[in-house]
Parts: sequence; C-alpha cells; structure tokens
Amino acid sequence: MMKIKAIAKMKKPIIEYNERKYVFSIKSLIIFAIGGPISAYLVYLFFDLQLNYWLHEIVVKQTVYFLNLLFNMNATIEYTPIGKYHWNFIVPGRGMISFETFCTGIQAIVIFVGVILFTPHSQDKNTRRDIAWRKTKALIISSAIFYVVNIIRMLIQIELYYIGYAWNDIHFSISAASSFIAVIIVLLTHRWIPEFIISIIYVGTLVSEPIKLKRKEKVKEQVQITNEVDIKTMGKILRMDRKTFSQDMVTWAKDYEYAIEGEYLKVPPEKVPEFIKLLMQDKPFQRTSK
Amino acid sequence: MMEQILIKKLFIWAILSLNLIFAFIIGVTIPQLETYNSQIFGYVMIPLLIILNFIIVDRFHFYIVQLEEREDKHDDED
Repeated sequence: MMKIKAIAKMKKPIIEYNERKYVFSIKSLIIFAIGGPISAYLVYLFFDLQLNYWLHEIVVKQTVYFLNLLFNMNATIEYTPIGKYHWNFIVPGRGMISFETFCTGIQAIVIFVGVILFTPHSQDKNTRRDIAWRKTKALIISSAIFYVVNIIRMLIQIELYYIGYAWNDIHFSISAASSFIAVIIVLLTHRWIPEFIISIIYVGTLVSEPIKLKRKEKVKEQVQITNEVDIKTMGKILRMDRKTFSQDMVTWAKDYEYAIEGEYLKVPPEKVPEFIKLLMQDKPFQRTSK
Repeated sequence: MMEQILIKKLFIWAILSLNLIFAFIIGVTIPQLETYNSQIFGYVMIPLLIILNFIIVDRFHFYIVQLEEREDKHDDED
C-alpha cells in the first residue's frame, strides 16, 4: 500500500510510441488488472445460462451446414432440452457429439472483450481522442476471427472423427493447437490499441522508477563525500550492455573526462556539481548538444 | 479535400448499412431458432448494435472535426 502511494506521488513517466504519448493513471491500471478478468468471467457465466443457448444453436447449425457442404457428410443435429446442454451433433456411422458452451469459443472472445474494454486510456488528449473507435474495431475483428477459427476447428475435428480417428486423440490436441490464434489477436490488438501492451510496460516502468531514483540518490551521496563511485552501479544507471560494459565505460568516462581506477570511477572535485546535475536528469548523462 | 470528405462519407455510409443488414439478419433469424427463449438473441444483440451505431456516428463527427482542424491549419499557413 505504501509502495502504491509512493508511486502515485511520483512524477509520471511518459512512453512515446508512433508519435503518440502514453501516460496512464494508477487507478486505470488497477481497474484494468481487476476489471478485465472479472468482467470476462461474468460475461462467460452470462453466456453459459440456459437462456443463451441460442448461441449454441447458431454455432451448431452453421457447423453442420459447412460439414455437409464441404465434406458431404450428411451430419445432422439433435435438440434435447433435458440436462445441462441441449444441442448435439449426429455424425453418420460414428454417433453423437454433445455440444457445450466451451465449444462456441465464447471463452476466448470474452477474455479479449475484458482486456479490450478495460485497457486504460492515455491521459494525453490527442492519444485518447479516437480510442472508442479503435477499441470497437479491435472488439469486432477479434471476436469475428475467434468465431470463424472456432467453426473451422470444429469442421476439422468432426471430419477427422468421421473418417475414423478417436475423439480423444483429436479433440484436445486440435483445440490446443487452434489457440495459437490468440497470439495473432494480441498482435492485431496492439495495432489498434497499443495502450494494451504499453500499459503493461508502463506498470514495469512505474515499479522500476523508484528503484532507479534510489540508486541515483545513493550515487549522488557517494560522489559528494568521496568523489568516486562504483562503476557497476554507474553501468546500471547508464543502462550499458553487459557484454560491452568495460569498453563502453572507458569510452564514456573519457568523453566526460572522468578517470577509472580499479572498480571505481573518479570524478574530479571541480566536476562534481556538473556530474550530479547530469546524473539527476530524467535521462542521466544525456546531453542536449555536443 | 472534397474527395477526402466524399470517401469518408462513403465509408460511414457503408458501415451504417452493414449495421442495418446485421440487424435485419437478427430479425430474420429469431423466428427460425428452435431453442427456448430464442428472442434473447435479439435482446443481447440489438443493444450492442445501438452502441455500435453511436460509435459510427461519433467517428463521422471525429472525421469532420479532423478536417476542420486541417483546414484551419492550412488557412493559418496561407
């Protein structure tokens, strides 16, 4: 709780992507994390109610239509309004396959509905201007893709079952394999609402920012007292690559006229105020002109 | 500029038409359904179509504002 309060007080970082600025409120990020999964689950429960079995009927009838059209299977459907689920496929020569809410693909759709609806909006006016349109586009296209892919999945499974494969062999494997589509949907969602991925990165930035500030404060104190600082800490502040760290550190120190002695960076006393000024910038040691 | 406005008008007209066609399909489908309470299909989908209608109209408004802004910028430059 204390950490959240400290983050809320901190100067908010701005992420720039495709010439747009992304700044999110802590409240919207928390709502996204909690509201997304809860709403997805509630919408799923709603579609699992018996009064929504019209969805089962539409999916079953469309699947059977395409099974007969593409594979000339003569498959039929059976409606028995008794028990938990009411719709079944009748596959000629193989028997009955019962249809449940999971077979509609609604669980995948509602996950993305939850994510898309609760994705936080940027506090920047220009960025959030057309968010409703972008979200609607992402919602409709992702739902349509899931729906179509789910029907194709069932067509493949029932055709394989019809030609002789055991149901257990094809059902779980193909269902799991078809979930690759979620990756494509995430990429498409990122195209229309980059707020989704950026908000996740933003949480990481919010968490790491106090750590970075603490590190900078420690270095500031050390330099003020001893005129020297551990080069490993400086490497972290300057975000140097581990592989080229030694070379990069030497070049950087030379550039700023600091000396390296063993594991320490020596800052000449007359350069300490400038060192601290450059260190405490939002982007440490980034010169505007040189 | 006029050509741009025309393309955007046509785009909005096309998606509004699609929305109406979808509402028509829902209306035609409901009597064909065998499930009990099949009218719930309409109760679920029609509010979603109304929201979609609002968003499409809002998008048209967004295009108009965007074009006006561009025109103002253009006039300032002249």
